[in-house]
Amino acid sequence: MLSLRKIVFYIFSLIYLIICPLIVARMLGFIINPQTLRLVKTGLVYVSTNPPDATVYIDGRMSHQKTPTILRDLPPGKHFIRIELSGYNDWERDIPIVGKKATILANTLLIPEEWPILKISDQPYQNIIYTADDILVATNPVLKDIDIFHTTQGIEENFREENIYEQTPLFSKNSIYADGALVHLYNASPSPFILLEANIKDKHKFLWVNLKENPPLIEDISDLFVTIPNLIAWDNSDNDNIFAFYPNNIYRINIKDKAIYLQDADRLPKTLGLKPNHHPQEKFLINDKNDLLIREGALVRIYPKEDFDTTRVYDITKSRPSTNMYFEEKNGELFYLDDKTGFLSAAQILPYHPILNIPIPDALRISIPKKDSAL
Amino acid sequence: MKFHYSKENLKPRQARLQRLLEILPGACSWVVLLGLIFLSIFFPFVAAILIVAFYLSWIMKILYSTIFLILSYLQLNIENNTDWMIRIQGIDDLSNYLKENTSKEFRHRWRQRLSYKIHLRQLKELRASKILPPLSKKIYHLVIFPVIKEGREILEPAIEAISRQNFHLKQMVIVFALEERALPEVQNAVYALEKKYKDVFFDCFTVKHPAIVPGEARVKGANATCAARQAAAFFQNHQIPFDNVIISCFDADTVVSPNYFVCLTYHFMVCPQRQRASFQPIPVYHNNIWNVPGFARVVETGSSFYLLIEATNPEKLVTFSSHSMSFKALVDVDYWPVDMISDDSAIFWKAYIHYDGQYKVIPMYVTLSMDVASAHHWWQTAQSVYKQKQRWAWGVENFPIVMRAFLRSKKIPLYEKLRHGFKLFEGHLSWATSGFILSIIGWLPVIFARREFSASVVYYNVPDIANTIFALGFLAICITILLSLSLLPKAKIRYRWLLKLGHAFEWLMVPFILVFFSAMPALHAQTRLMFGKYLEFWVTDKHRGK
Repeated sequence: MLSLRKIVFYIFSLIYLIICPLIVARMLGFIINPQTLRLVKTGLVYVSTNPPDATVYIDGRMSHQKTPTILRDLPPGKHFIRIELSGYNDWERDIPIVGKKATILANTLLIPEEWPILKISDQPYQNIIYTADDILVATNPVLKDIDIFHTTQGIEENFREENIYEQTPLFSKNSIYADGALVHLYNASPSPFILLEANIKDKHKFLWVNLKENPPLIEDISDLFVTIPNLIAWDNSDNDNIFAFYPNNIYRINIKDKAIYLQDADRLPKTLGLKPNHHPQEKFLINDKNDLLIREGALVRIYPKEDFDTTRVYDITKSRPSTNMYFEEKNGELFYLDDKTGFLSAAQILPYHPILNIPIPDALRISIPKKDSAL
Repeated sequence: MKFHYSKENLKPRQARLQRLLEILPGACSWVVLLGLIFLSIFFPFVAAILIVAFYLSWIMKILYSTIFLILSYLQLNIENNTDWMIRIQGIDDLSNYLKENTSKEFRHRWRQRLSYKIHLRQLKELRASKILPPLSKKIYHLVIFPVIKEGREILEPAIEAISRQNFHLKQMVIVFALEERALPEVQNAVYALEKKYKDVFFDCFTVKHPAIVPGEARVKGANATCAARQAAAFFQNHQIPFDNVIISCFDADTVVSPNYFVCLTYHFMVCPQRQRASFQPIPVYHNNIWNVPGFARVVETGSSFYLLIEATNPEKLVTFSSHSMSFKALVDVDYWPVDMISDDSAIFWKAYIHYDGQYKVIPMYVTLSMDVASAHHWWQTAQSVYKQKQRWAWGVENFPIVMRAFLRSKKIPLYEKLRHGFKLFEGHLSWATSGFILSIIGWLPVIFARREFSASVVYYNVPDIANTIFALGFLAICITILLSLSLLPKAKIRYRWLLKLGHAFEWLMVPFILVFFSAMPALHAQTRLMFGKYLEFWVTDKHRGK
């Protein structure tokens, strides 16, 4: 046994002495060129796509693995990469490979042959407002035409199988407020409360609406306003106190106690959102901050950041200008009002929500190297 | 060589050297760990190369060990049904026995054939040495059980197992080494057992070790030494030469298999240098194996397997836990160190130095079963296991003393000094660092990756190489699981296959165990030694389910 142990020990030591430098060299990106039998430097490219499971071709050769994948042992220089996935346009680029370096194509967005767009409502709206808990309020001049939509309803594993958006009118037709005219809608996203300023039968009314309740709980708080304020705002973490701004005073109105307090301007909550709530959002950094979704005029377009030579842009749809758009991170949908019809619509921009990419530590990286690092 | 095997009462120069050597293992372990963390953050390329080189060496070590674990397991299996008594009687009449057995046929019974082949080789070596053993009927066994807090429920099964030995009980002397500071109920239990078994063996008596003895620490070795001195007087009184006595110093929970002493007698007789040898069985922790939490089961099975692997390398084997040795050697080296915790390994080094390197450990393919450290609650069990491992890792206290002896000795060959010194040092270094590197530090270069590193080929290749290496490591673990399942005792329950299946999955805790029950206690022990905060003997909790 002892001699056997010695023999095996020497064999293992010899194997170690041979394979250790080879593996370290391989790890550093060196491979032996079979023709010259010399060590040559190589680089690699890491490709992940959204959606995943796309086929990758490098210089015409198909990779055995679907995305996300790593293509190794690439000699330095330009390489042509094509990514194919059924139902999506081919993604083709010349990418630079540098010896001992990794070129990273992370979350490459594949553009569908046809953007999946869903018409959610059968009636036009004037605007949409995001409140909280994925609730969208689609507004119209008459109160009975205001509807509520739950944007994440019916989503399973990132995909919405069918249109099961629930369209709920904010006011029932029998409501005493139903025929009122909307003057202004105040919100403090992500607060689940909204404040409607409306004219109802020639009376100026303020309605405090709790959208968390089903049906929404509506409370007339008009008595708490002495006159019509210039602006109303509240801190989204404190839904009991709202602040009414008058030319010379600020009043704090406690909804629960039905009490009005004169508020010192210096003691307003710092988190009070005083931005005009109808400011339309025009730009979104999406897909793990890889791509830019933007509205230019009525055109909604996408600018993939991952581009090595030319700037590319893809048109998605047309949205009514000066209305809000809302990008739902959870399921990669863009909610907007259709430019022609004014119907509430949803465009599936990201079919897949990236969770963790391989290699695993990728998610733990301090900085994600992009174009410049590869070059 | 006459050598004061202790860290106490040294001359100033020796004391300084001792202190320096005490700092060395811990300092090296910390340098390795902190150095790799530093490199991972600031020089990730260098760290990645070192880590991959380490991973490779680790997997080679694992595969190498697995080969010998299998071989060792096979040998244990082969010797399972060996009739040691016939072999002993054969050695008593060696010439005739050899004549009768040289051409014995076993046909298809490969186990017996292999066992017999080994046996025959040993007999021929014995005959060639011309150092024949005493007759088996003149060989006596002295068994010492140091007791401090072990109750009758722990002690009695151990004595009971000895009383069921396939060896002449009237050639066995049992000595309870009882600490004076033991609780009265423990003392009463010992005296009751002494009374019960006095007539079963040649003799059975108790030696009380005083609570305070100048020059002694509160360690097991001091207690056992006190008992062994009394036993020496006993043998002198009975005119039994020490050459004919084999001493076994067992933990109180040691339950020996029925063949233990007959197998030990055989190995003692067949070994030409029997007076300069220790005899190491394979300790298994089966007494309460099914009553402890899964992690403790895996830890202890791992310990048994480590010794099974080590058994294939007698040149570097060091005594561990319960073992046996020549009583003459024990007396010659002036018994166990009385101020060291790791008495089991210290006695080997003491003898090795005393006999100028002419001392070895003979592996015996026979098991003895002990308790897994356990308590009533899993958390207390975890603490017990941790403390036990820390105590084992405290074996590093031998390193400075052995090194001092090696520096002084002119008779021990340089090659032997280097070989043993390296193994002792490397063993403790890798014990304290491997678990951390494998489970935590190996991932740091990719976790701390900065822009420059995360855009490199290395960043993407390291996880790939590591995964391949770990997949190979998993293969070794699968083999270990299979061996572990076949070695474990049968549980007395209806669906025991379910229990075994569960045990197979328990091995998934290996990365966790490597850190918390291997590397961490070892690093803890080395750090204590480094700062001179010497460990006190801590008696492991032993608890058996009903």
